[in-house]
Amino acid sequence: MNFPLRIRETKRTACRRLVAIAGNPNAGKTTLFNALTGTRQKVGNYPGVTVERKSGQCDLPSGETIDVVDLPGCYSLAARSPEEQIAHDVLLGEMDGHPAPDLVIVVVDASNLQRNLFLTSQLRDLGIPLIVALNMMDIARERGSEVSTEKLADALGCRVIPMVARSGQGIKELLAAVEDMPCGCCTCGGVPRFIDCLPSALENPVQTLAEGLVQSGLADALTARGESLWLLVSSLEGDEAVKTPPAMAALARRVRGEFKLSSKQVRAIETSARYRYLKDLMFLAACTEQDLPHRLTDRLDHVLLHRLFGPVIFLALMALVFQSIFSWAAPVMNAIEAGVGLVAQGVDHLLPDGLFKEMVMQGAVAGVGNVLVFLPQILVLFLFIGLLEDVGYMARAAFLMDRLMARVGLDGRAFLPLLSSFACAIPGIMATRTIAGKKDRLVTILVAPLMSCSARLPVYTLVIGTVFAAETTVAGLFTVGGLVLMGMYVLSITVGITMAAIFKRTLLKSPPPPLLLELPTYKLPSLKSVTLNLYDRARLFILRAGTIILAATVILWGVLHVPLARLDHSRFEDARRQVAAKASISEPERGGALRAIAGEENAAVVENSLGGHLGKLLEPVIAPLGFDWKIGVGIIASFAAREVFVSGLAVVHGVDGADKTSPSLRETLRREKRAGTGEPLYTPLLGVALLVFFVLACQCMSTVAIVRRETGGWRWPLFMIGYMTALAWLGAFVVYQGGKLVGLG
Amino acid sequence: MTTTETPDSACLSGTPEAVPMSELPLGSRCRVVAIDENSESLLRLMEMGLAPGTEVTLERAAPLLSPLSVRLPGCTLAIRLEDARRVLVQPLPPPPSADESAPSRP
Repeated sequence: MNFPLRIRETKRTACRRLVAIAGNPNAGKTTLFNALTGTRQKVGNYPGVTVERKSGQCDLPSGETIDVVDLPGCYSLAARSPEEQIAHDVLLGEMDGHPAPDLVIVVVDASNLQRNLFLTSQLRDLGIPLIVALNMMDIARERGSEVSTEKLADALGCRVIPMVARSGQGIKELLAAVEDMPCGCCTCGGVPRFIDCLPSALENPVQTLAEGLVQSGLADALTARGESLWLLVSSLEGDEAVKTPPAMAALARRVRGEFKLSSKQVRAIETSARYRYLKDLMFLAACTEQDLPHRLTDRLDHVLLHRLFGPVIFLALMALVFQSIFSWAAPVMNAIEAGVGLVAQGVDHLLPDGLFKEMVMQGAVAGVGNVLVFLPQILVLFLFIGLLEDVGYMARAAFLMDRLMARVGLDGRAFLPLLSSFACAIPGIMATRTIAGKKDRLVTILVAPLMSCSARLPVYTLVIGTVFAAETTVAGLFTVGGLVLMGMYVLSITVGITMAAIFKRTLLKSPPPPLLLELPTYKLPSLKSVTLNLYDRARLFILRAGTIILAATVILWGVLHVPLARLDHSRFEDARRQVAAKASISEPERGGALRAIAGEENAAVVENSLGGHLGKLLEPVIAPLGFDWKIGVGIIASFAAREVFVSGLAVVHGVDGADKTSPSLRETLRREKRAGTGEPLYTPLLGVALLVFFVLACQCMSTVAIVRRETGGWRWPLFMIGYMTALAWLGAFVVYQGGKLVGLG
Repeated sequence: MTTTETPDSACLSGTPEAVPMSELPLGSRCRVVAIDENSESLLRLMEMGLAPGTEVTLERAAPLLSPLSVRLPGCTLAIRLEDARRVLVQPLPPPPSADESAPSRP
């Protein structure tokens, strides 16, 4: 049966053509998008919603430039989440400001053909002009599946381009096919579409609704049936209701009532009928699928998902990640430190003495240095996450963790956002967009900042290095520093899971979310995607460092150095003169005494500043935690971003160009005395209280900003600041006072 | 209410020995007969390929016994034990070539 050539109306005939890439998750959509656009891509948001919009440009062989947009990955267009709704709206041009694409490339995994054709056949039902990019042909052949490109093309009535997107095979042919597609046309040849041969249970409701839509002018005759089926399977009620014109939703509800069908019933009927239809289509297209296990995957899973070895290997991998963050990144960090030291020296030589030079050295150079030095750790972590994801282990981790996660009440898909939050809560919170349930998503967002992000690392490193003998070896392999660090991660996970369980059962009560997890075959990681990802992370982090953190450090320097009242410097001058006049002491002793005076003077300057007054104001609140006003200043400063705590303490203590590992700052801290008693301030007990505070506190402006954006208001970010600050205070209080009770510190 | 079969494929329903998937031992093969259409997760799994008529192999169970991994033609899905209880299947004889490529029981 042949259907007439259909002319689509496009409003932008004069403009560049727009090509959308659609497909199942893991079909290779993003790989293809990267291959087409390279570095000419930009990431934005769809209006009003928080789903990422990736778009870019691509040059065709003829020199024509086209716009390419990457749609959210989905298995079906039936809309129950923002992703599916957006995929549908973009494809049909129902999104404001986003005209319908002239052409859709649907990426189909040839090694899992029938399942991938599910979405393809839904796209056909909506009359969308298609090119099928038949990806992963190598794996399909390896598995012994038979895929006949020509017959499949005949059956689907559109071009089918075999390809291996990972290695770039078939890209040229795909571009040529895009070039050949006449603008604004689509051929609807091939076998009858599913929508044209519905099972009896669906035929009447769909036809009734389609006629209703056409009569009330809500749809045109060509797409009415496709739209009707989509309306009937999509949720129109409750939390997950799709956004359709009210008139359409009302009509759909009426038809559902008339035929006594719920959206779930329609979905069940549609899905099993469509799979039967696809079975026939596969037969017509002479395609077969082999039900054989992938040998290597089967063997690896035998060990990696083993009842005993599986969890052991999982924990060992996580321990390896933490240990490598703590120690492997060190050489690169030292090199960056040396570089920052050189810049500081240059500034020292170039600028005349004075307030401006101090600002540049203590505020700007030190601040940026403290952030840059921390890049290697982020890269190491994202290298691990990227590799594990690419290899296929991430899905196994979710598989192993699901029962625990489900007991908490979290989605299996929450695992990845939470794991990413160990690097930075911001990408983690953005990754929660894949979670279907609104409440599940909110729970995940609320606990994501509790995961110990890498911005806490400088604080951990500084505090652990100051109060413990961090290099002491334990059990040959690990060090005290590494173990304390591991402890902080365990604490963060425990509290995170507990809070999620509490939220899920009280504030955000909802039924447990479904597990939708595919266990892909293991494959070698693609160097390109891992490096592109690393480059992205590094760029984002440096941009963040260059703006927010730099600004925060400079403002903080101002807050701490601009005096509120005139300070009398004469007594420090007198003290210096006295030291200089003393003939009885040796040269090193004299230097030490002068440093001590400089420190006291700096403390007096800070104490007299706005920040000092704020710190003092805070002191009664934080005194039960064992913190003094200087730590209070650091905490105030770190609300900008956690890592600012380090430079904040450096500024408070007047240590130039110091960072978390520099001996000078550690020495200064170790010399700090508790006011009144004169005992050392930085005891191991105070260190642990401080660490616990930093594990639990919400000290990141960027996180608050992203939560505001993701939740669409100030209610949840404010709640988050409130509950996390309370937790942090309580945690540090229990540690410090409890420790003192049992005679520690 | 638990069947999703439409009249034109009644050949599958009505088989007497349909049992919940959760009751089969690991390593066994079966054909999906029906799923509970009231479960959102099962509807999703159905879209991901676990549709009536599909032949599947129960591969493994996670350390805490749930979820199970189920091999379909083309992909492997995870399914929680409580979901597997709501999938009716018809047991099939083990694959003819019972060589080493067949998954062994843990």
